[in-house]
Amino acid sequence: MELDQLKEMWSDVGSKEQGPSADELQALLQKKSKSPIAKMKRNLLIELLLIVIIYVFTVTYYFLNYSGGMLSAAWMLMVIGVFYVFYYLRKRRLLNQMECVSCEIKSNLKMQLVTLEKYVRFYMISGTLLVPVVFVITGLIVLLYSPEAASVPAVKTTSFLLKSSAVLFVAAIVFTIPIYFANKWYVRKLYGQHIERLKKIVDEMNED
Amino acid sequence: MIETAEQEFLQLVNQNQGIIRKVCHLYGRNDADKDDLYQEIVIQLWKSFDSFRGEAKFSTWMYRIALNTAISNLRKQSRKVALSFPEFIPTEQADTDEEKLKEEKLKEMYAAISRLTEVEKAIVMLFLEDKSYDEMEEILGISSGTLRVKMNRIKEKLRTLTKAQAYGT
Repeated sequence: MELDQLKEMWSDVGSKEQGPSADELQALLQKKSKSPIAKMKRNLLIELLLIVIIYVFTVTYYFLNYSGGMLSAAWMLMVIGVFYVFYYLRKRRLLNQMECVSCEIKSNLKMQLVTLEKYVRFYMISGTLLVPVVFVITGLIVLLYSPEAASVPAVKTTSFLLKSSAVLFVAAIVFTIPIYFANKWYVRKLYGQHIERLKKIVDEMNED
Repeated sequence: MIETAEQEFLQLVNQNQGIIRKVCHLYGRNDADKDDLYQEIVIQLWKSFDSFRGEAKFSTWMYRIALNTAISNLRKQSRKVALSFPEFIPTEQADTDEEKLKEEKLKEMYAAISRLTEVEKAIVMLFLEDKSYDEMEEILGISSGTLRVKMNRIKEKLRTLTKAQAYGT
């Protein structure tokens, strides 16, 4: 059997099947897409909602229960919240750029691959950088403003603060290293296979 | 206005349902998979319908979306996949030895096609649809010269695969 012989019979494929009725087709239009990108967009929205709920709850808690310097923690969360909005918008924009299903297949897959790699890099860098920043700032807030630390006179001396900042900085770096590898593993688990598959397909399409 | 667009869309999809079914037959690994893919293709077509400006033929636009959806949405292939043959292959209906042999050969060919890569399947589908190399280029974005070379390689690969199947290797 040659492919050309199959050609003669190909036109009959699916012709005997009962296709969906007009009503069934109309119902399909209301359903949610299950494509990987649609799922990523939904997950990002869930992440945004969770962050908003957690941040609003925590910031309100700090404002109601603390005063003075300890309110810096609430301000820090709000500043991180503002950065999160940029983070969300950047990820959302990358996801919107990720596919053009009506484009030529090769260009669509190429664009998907390039944008997905950018998305993963951004996810990795921001997720890893957030850890030392929050670690150091939180440490400094506790050191400077917590009631426990205020009762120790040595805490307010410049040399103690410099030493503590250095310790916090080193601890943040040490703490960030495993976080970097954990992030790398997680991102690979989430998107690694899909990226590999896309690379393979794009390479195959580029072959002469 | 929206209703008119929806009606127009449904009518066009109805007229070209064969394209979606064929893509589902080629890329779906079982009935549930095919149903999911069918649904996803219709959703993607509807989401992109605004972008259809009639610059390309509706069928070209539809092939692009259907194939893009099928190729980029494929999940990791399970090793234990039951091959479901499209209904154009007459199963257990052949009366004469000649018909039985033809049926067997058809199954071999279809099984061989199912072992091709996603890109090769797309090329085979467009070839079976009797598309010219220029039309294939418009859909796939691969130059017609490269497509000719790839088509020859695919035919050779299918010959090898069908032979291997016949000898049970």
